[in-house]
Amino acid sequence: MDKIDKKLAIKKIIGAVIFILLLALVLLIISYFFAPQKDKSITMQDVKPNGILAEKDQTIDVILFGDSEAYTAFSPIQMWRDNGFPSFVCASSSQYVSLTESFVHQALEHQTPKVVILETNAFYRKMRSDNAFITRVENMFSVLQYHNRWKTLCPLKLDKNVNYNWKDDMKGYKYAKLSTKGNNKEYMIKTDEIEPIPETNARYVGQIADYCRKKGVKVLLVSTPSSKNWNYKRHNAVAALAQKIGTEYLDLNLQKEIQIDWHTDTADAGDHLNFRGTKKVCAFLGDYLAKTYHLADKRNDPAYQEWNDLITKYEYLTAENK
Amino acid sequence: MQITSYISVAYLAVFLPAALLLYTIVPKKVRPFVLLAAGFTFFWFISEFLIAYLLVSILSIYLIGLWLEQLKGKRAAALSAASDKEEKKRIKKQSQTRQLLVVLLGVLINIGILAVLKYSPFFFTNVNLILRLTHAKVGVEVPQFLTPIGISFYSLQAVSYLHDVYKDKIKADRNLARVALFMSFFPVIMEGPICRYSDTADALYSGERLHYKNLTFGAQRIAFGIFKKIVIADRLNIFVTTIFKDYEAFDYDGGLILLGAIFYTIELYMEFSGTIDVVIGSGEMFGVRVPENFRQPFFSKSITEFWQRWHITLGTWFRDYIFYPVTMSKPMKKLTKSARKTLGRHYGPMPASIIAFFCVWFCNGLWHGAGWQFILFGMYHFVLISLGSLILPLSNLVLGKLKIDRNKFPYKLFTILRTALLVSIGEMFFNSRGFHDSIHMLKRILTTFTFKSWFDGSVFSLGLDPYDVLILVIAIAVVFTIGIIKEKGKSPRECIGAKPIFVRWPIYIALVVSIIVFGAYGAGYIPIDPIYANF
Repeated sequence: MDKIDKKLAIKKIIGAVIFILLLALVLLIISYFFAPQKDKSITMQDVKPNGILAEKDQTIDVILFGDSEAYTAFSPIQMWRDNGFPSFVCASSSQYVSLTESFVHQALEHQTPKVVILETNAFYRKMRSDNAFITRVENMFSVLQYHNRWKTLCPLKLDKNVNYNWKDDMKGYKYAKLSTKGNNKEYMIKTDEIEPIPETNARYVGQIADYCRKKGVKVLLVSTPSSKNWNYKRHNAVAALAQKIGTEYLDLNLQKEIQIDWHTDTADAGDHLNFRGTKKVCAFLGDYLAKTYHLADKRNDPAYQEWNDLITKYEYLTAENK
Repeated sequence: MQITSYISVAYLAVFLPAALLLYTIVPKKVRPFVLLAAGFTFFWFISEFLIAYLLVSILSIYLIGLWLEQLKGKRAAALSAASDKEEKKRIKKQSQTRQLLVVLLGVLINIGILAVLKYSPFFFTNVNLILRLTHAKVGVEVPQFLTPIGISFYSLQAVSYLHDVYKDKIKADRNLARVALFMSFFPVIMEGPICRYSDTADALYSGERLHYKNLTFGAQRIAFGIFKKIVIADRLNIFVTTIFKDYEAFDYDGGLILLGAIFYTIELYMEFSGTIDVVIGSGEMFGVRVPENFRQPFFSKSITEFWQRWHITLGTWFRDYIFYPVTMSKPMKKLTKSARKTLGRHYGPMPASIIAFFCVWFCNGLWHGAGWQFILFGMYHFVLISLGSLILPLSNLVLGKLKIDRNKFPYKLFTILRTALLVSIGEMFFNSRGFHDSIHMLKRILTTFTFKSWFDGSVFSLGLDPYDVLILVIAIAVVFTIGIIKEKGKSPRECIGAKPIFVRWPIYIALVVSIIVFGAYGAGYIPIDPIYANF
């Protein structure tokens, strides 16, 4: 390389370094605006699980977290009508346990439930390995972590219909009307084998349990009936995890008295429950929770009149399947 | 380290910079071996011990290529020694048959591995289905194999190499390292483009030093690819996943299902072309020109044109190695000759073309996956393209009678939108969970379609809020504008590169900042797995 070439190369290297420094500076400046100061709110990507933010503070006794298995199986209004305790489902489609952790933190800032329920199907949703690396970089440039706050910083008020005041009349439950016949073949075949939960996910579940314990909230792991997603190997893994992190575990797939009929009670051949299945699960779970956690019947409490009013709407919305 | 896709921190922040650094610090002669080692390491990261299949493919095409070359040499020697015409004719025929058998052996090894690993479970599942339908009391065990990622891409490259040697388009390479590098260049091994030996082999092996312009242009192309994937495709993913997974359970109407199909088509384009941008950008950094795979496909005015602009290297592979050999085969030539006499100039070549199209689209469907929905996807395009040719004289007549000018903008716009809609329906089959779902979703669109769900807020309950929609509109408009610039034959990167630094740099910084701020990553978003890596 001759002298001119070398000079040119050095010039270009200096140019590239200046560009990278400039970019880093821009990101640091943006990070200053994006990092939450007093406002700890996150944005409204998941409307339904964030619906809990519209509930009055310290009014919910049971909060359930998970993916679509959770929002199709648990109906808070059903359990309110039959057992009288207020609950909320903070579930979203294909939820990762890392997101569950954020939802738990967010919900427990406003509520102190008697019990937090983690639906276990999400435990097997594998997260990408670079998530951990990203988290480290996120701490340096907080815009990476809070980038979605542009929605709240945006001067356009596009989300007038979807904001924290949006109240979900179903309290997080998603009504599944259809019925696609499944198979009643036994899927919980007893075995000692284990289907390991991805390590990162297990760590997140442990962290959630620790956080709840610090807040004085009990944690219950629940597996909803799903002939497609669940089996005994997964049951064994979750039972072992529950023991390790000191939480209780309830596998509804093993509760024969719920009497799920996979010909009629599933929306999509054994993946999710439909409303018929939901009713059966809630009848069992409502009783179980009320008894186990001594949940008070609040149906006559005037502060909860709004919940009683929702029963009529709920029954109307779900009438087709009654 | 786990590399899950080209648009991952592991690849972009660790693997690619490390490969570039190592490449630049070693002497020129060693550089091809750095690329080769990077290719094998990359393949090990994505497929571990299944790398053995890749090695078998490399060795097979290398040896069979040499064998073909040897047969060609022998033929030339025999021909020069032969005295009369008959003798020469006999030698030619004999050698041709031998070469054909040898090339078929190579194709059999490479396509055979692909067929066994990818298609035998599908084949045996269907055998069992037929046995059940005939009330037979026996069944065969369905085998399950681990399949290396990228096998569908590198197997086609292997076949193209053998065919091109057989047809004298290229000389068989005596350098095993160069053949191995052609087969295992890490940016293309997972999702293509499907390269020809003449496209990349020499550039890969030249060990050319890194150039500043290549590095910056490559980085810009990579950034644009990330923008398409993270800002657009990943943002659409929640909506699309919800519709395709839950359409039956939650009784979504035809309007929402069609919207899901359209969004999926956009998502697929942004994901696949975004990844290809990263691939081409990576190649560019090393000074290797990887062939383009997309040319603004949504400006197409017909399905045929669409497939000349979408996944171009797959389309040209099928054209060169299936369509032409079928149409140019003796029986097809005979068929065309006799059909021309009875059916005339337009329809005469059609029977042969339709047979060739059937072969192409059947294979195209199967290449995308072992499932009836993929065969349906292929057959759907076969029917559309064949119908297009069949009714061309009729449509010309109708347009003439109605005095509609094909070259006027309204008609062009109509054909572009019609093509996009038909493509979206095809992609809906492609993304469905099976044949049953494909048909069921189409039925829903045809029987329960209304625009109501597009505007009554239903969209916002499926994972997109109004801000997401706003960003999608802006981001798609940016990609569209760049598409128009390219369509006019200009290079957006050259245009920006020619601007002064105070214009250029803010544009680059804005691109990176927009990815970081408006990207659909982090809590609440599900990144799409690389869609084409599974094929």
